[in-house]
Amino acid sequence: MNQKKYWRGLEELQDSPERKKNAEDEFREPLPFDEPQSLLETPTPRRDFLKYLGFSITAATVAAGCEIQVRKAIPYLVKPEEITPGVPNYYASTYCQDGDYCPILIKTIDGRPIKVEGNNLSSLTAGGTSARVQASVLSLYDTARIRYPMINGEETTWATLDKMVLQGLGDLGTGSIVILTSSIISPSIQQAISDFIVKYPQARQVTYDAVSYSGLLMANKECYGKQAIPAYHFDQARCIVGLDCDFLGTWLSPVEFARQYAVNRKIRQDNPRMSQHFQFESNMSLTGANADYRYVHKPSQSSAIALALYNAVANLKGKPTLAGEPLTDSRLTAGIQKTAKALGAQEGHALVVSGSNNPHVQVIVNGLNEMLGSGGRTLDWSSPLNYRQGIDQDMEQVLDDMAADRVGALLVYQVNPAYDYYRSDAFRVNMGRVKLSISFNERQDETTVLCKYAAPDSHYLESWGDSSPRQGYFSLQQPGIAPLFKTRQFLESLLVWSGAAQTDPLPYIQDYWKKNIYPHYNNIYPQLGNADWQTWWDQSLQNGVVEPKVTPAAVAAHFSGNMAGAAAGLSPAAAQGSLEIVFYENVAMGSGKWANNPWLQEMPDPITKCTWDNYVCISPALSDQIGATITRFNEVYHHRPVARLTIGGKDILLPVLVLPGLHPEVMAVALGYGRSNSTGMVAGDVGKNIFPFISYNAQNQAREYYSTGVKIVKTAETYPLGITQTHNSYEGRPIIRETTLHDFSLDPSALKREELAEESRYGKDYSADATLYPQIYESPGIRWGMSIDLNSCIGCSACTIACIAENNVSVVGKKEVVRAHEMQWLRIDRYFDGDPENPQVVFQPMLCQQCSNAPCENVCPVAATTHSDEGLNQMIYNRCIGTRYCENNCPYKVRRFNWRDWNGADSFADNLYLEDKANVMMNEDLTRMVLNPEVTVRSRGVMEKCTFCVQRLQDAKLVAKKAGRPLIDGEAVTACQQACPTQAIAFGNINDKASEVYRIRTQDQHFRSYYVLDLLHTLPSIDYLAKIRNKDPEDFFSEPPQHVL
Amino acid sequence: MSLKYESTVREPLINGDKTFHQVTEDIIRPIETRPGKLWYVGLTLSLCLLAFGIFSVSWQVYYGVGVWGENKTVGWAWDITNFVWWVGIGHAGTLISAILLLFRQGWRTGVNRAAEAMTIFAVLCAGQFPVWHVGRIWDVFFIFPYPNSRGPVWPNFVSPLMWDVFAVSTYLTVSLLFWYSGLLPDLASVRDRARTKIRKWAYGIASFGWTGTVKNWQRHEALSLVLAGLATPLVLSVHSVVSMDFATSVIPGWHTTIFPPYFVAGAIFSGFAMVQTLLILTRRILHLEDYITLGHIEAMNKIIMLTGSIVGIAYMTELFDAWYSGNFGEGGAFWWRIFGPYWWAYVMQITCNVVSPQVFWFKKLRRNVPFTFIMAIVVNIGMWMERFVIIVLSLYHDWLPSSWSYYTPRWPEIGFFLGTFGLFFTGYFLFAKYFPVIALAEIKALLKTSGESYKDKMEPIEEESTAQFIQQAAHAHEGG
Amino acid sequence: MAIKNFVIGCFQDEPQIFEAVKKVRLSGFKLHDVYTPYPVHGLDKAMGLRGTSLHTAGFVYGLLGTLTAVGGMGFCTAISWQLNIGGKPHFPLAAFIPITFELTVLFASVGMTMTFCWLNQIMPGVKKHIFHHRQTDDLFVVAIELTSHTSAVEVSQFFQSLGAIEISEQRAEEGWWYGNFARQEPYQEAGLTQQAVTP
Repeated sequence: MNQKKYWRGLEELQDSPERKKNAEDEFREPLPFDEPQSLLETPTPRRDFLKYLGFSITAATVAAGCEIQVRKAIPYLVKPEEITPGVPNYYASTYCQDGDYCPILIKTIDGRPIKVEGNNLSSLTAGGTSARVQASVLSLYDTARIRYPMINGEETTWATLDKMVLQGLGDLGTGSIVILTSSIISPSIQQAISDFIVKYPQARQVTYDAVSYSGLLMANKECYGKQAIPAYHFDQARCIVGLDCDFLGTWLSPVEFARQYAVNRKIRQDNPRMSQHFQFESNMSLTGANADYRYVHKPSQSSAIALALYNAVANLKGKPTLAGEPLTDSRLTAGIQKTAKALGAQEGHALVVSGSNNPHVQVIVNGLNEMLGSGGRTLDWSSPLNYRQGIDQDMEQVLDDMAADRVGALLVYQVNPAYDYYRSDAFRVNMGRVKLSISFNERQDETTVLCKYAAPDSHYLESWGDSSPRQGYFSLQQPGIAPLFKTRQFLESLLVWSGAAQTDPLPYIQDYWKKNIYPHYNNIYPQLGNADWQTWWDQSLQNGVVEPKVTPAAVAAHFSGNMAGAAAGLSPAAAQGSLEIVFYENVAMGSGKWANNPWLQEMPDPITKCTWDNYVCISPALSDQIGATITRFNEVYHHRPVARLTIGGKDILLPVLVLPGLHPEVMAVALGYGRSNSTGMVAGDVGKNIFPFISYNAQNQAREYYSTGVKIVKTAETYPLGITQTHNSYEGRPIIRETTLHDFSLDPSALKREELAEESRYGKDYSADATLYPQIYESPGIRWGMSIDLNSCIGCSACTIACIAENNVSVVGKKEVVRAHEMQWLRIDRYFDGDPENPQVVFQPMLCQQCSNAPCENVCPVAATTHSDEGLNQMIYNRCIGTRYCENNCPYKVRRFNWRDWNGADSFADNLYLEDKANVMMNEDLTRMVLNPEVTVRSRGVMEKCTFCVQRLQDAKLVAKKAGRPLIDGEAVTACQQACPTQAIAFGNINDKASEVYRIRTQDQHFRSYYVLDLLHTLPSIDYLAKIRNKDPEDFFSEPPQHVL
Repeated sequence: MSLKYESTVREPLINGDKTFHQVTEDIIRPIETRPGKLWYVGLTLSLCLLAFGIFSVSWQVYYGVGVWGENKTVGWAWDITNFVWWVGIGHAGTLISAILLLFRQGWRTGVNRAAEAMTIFAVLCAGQFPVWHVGRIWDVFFIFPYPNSRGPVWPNFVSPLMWDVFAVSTYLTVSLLFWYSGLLPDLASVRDRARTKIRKWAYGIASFGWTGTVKNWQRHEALSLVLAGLATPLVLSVHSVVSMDFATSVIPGWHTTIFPPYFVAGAIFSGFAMVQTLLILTRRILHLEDYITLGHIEAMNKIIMLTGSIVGIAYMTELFDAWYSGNFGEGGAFWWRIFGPYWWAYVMQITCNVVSPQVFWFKKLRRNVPFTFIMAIVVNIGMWMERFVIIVLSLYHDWLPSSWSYYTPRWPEIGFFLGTFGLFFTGYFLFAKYFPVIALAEIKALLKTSGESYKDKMEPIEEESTAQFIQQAAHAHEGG
Repeated sequence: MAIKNFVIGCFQDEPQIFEAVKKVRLSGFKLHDVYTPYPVHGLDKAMGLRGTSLHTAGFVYGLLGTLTAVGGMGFCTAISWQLNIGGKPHFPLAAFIPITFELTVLFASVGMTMTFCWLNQIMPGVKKHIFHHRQTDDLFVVAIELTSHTSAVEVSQFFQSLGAIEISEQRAEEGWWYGNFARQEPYQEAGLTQQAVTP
């Protein structure tokens, strides 16, 4: 037996304890692996690992794309089964924020959500999205998110927090617990709240909506006995009347309504029919901009208008009219008559909606719909909408209770009354009186900073969840990434505090669904038959949405409205000549929840085309009065006069923006600006907060979004506004083609006649014969083409944000927008024509037209932009030297130059453009995780532009190639097309005779189809479909060409 | 061989009673004596401007073109305006030396040397702009057609910017050759009368060892004649090519077939204005009134008036076409050019270029030196405005009203412009000190026929009968 | 190249020089060369020199330029690497015209100037013998080379008869070499320069 002992190194010989220890575990540091126990306590949990991974891969992408030294990417140590580096995964989920709802797909690359797309399986949105939905992916990487639970602003662990909270809840004594939430459409969260209330009987849930729909809910309660909102069927309506109701932009569920609306706005040229849309409104809303007939009135007249419309229809139908204040304005009365006639003619296919928060007005409107037999047709009570549930009075009550020390604990979820309640000051004061205050909000917003405890909720892209937008319709929410920070879902917190055995959200949700939903829906999947729970659940999770097998037939509800009473309760119109102001939500900001999202802040408002601010919109007439007239000489300057407004005795300074289509005595200001600096780098000091100017009408028990007796005085100072389009008229140029339904149905070819006559002078084939050089370039395989329908484009700008997200388009910040340096590849041109008091509006999405004879290509000295054989106008970034000649020579002005180093992808050190907080934020490591690794980040000094999302086209082609088949139409989808809620954009291969684009151009819509500036013989690949207005020819305004010397 | 007779009706091109030696003395004196205070002041000032220009450009190169006022709609502004302006100025020199040589315009000899120098410096300044205005200067070599491993990828010869590269560099080279070949004999004269060793050595090298043998002169004559013949179409082509940057585009206000002649006329116009500016200063500072006479100034004023009117006609034609074409883009562009927010630029262009030169119908004003000087400045301002109007006012309101925009310059691009002035005058001051500013040999060739003192000797010939004269002429021919 | 002896006569006026040249050619002296401060038209004919063919050279260079331009651009765009740029053909001749023209002019002028220097044997640093420092100023200098059967004296007298204002005998290097004009050349010390007497 050999007892010889060999020793390696002296320490082994001495055999020190450390060496023993080291010898035992070969890794000195604990590995960043997922330890099952106490995840959050581990120094570097898996989520951090994923985070580093995600970041480093972005960094590598950025580096690879541009000429800066390559930073190393960390490869997977253990590759997750379902992830292939570089190959995107899509997870069905749901976007759901304070009642705003949209079923989505999360596109993740290397475990990193980089894009949100609509879910086509939903019958409500059919794959549509909104700008906010598209931008929500950026908010996942928001630097201002709270990263850990906090007590009085100090970091703590969840364990400690839970202990403290439970203790606090324990010794509340008599004090009640108020769970202040936004409208919650998640059944499981709702369930959890009731569980919580069971545990703590003194608790009650109060729903508070930043922008109130109380009037509507109360009216419905009175008329139909249900405090709910019926499902609207705009797709069934042939005549739509909107009263101060922006149902395409901000009201209830714009994405859903826009889809429905578009159904009857799209036109078939063989049998042209479309709905007719009347709009009565005080400010120019997105919806009003799309209306066939739009009438402007003062906000205080809205009651009178509802009444007048009711009476006019009643007269037609020989029904009893209602007594009340008559409408004096002749223009309006005429409009009312016209509208009533149209409504009457469409009985059963009419729909009147009102955005008023005055219950009496809503009652009148309900009565009106009853008279028109909308119930059971366009107004459906079979499955009401859950989007909004807040009753203003409840919130008032909460405030009183707080003042009277009756509130012991306040749990704040997704709401921010300290900012957006009209009595925010009172709220702030009373917060001090609340013993136990907990905020679940994801950031240090105005309310959270007042709360003792911050229990940050995870971002929706990190969370499990479900929602029921509408009775009987459900959708599921699954995370696209593990929580980036030590945040915890609201649901989980509730479960923990109500002492539930199972506190993990997923099992809880599954449990809820197994009990309440699965039994009724187990047979909705034909291919599965009566599926067992697990298969059913997996299928549902994959689909994201769960809907009734057969769409429930629309049903009416028994109407029991007291019309006379309502008429009596209407609020009187203010005196003539007194100025009034209306407070509205704009499409990007809404109630201000998204203030810290640079993409949305830099999104030009669809109507005013202004970014990064709120401002007071006034009519040209009023601007003359206060001496702020906009002329062709000063329209180009971005510095606009500042006015002092006096609203209800309070003063506020706001920049003036002159907007045609406003009532001469009406001003409009957007809500949702002027957030506190703590809410985020960008949100702070952008615009002014208008919520405090909202008033509460005690008699109606509802908030009022307008104010009368307003004064406006122009001050000496000016203020720069980031307006991206300063000229409003298209000067009658043939870049827009529009006509009336009447003329179009008489002779569809009239639209094209002039053009054909002109082109025929060049020979048979205009594109080949009208040029010095013959067309020699064939596209043997694919030739990409796009067709944009001006009728269904409502200008919502979802495409603009989708493009930014997909193509890593830089945010430049306000200072640069003011200098016309914005980078958006896809812009929406908004033109007014006709009467400046009340113009016609047309939206035209403008992106690179991918011209076959591209003027930009000819002039590039280094051949940095050339043509692909698929008809794409390619931009070769690393060949570009930046002469900007192509930009100058682009007749569509869609090329964008990197004026500064927006994103650190430059050859110079530390010359990154950081003059704006937005640029700082967008260049944070965290924020950069949103960058799409499939798209180069452009360096300073190069030109860039739309490429039809060439990376997506390549993906689609590869998929087809792998499957060994030709590309199927609809397989290659551009980001803008995907995002569009109205399917206004068709895209595909025009060599494929079966493709939609080909059919639109050559058969279905060839009379409407036209090319912008085809007189230049640029031969664009994008055609537009002429806008058809459902107007009487005599009312239609077609602008004559101007300024031909 | 030239006839040794010129009518006394023609006014002398060289004033005063001069011998060959006197001429040499007068013209070479500035080189051999210390320059005056004015010269030092001027040079320092120019160097300061140059330094500021270099600073401005470095700033722009480091932080990006965004530090300029250009934007998504107006992609070119001061940069290309200045480029076109300088190139235009660079036309007079070659025009005077080449075209006037072909036309046998004796008076050119007084001014051609300075004019050519001016041309060269102007073109150097012009060249700066297309080079430094790009977004990624470090990649600018992409424009050269050199074999490479990228495919190889070649530049795009269809691009007018590419044409510019060739046109301007060719023009610079040819002007340089023309100028220097003319300088050789004069540098030789400086060398041969030089007293200091250093000057003898320097001018010895600079003069290439020229001795002035008959054969040398014969070839020299041939060379300058052919170079003149080549430079004439060249000088016309350069600005035509520059104008094609715009003419071949699709932007209303740019896409115009009359641009080439219109630009050339404008170039000569501004070129002569600049020659006036410089020569009026030079003759004053270097006391060369006898060689750069009122006659010269008047002759150039006539040309200014002519070209000014041609430019005026071009403006009218543009407007007419805009209206007559019935094209909304074209019409709109010009409507906005005149009635838009930039109206003042257009007004300046018209007043300075079309209206003001008409005063030269009056002989009194044509021969009034201070007035001419002011006019020259006015014309140069006007021509700068013209280029600005063409470039910015066409872009800022083009096809799609949605993108209409405005432009205001920022300090770095202004600094860049001033910097080129620094470059230009630094060059010119050094030239005036170290080179004969008047073509010595050519003046001498003229002296005996067009010199004031020699005019008197013509009188006896004037009295001669034709027969005698012919006999004499024949006699003179026996040499050949 | 060799160092030889010359007698030079300096004249003041153009007609005299014509006269002189004519006489020299008749007298049979070996006329080395004539130096004038400016181009005297017709003197070359008077001396019986043949006209220069610089123009022809220029034409050839120009042609070369044209071919280079068209060939080069054609190769790049149509042969080496074809691209679809703005839908134009790969050999858009019309668009090649400007560059072709420029290169023609460039080649012609650069080529000619170089030939000019070559023929005249001039270039930076070249030095030649200067017979009289005023030959580039105001004197017309006729240089006659002394051969075995011509003496300095008779040549001087000959010049005198023609009315030369200054006559001198010089040793001189007749060709060109690299040198510094500021320095005296060795041969100039060796050969004394004598002033011929004028009665």
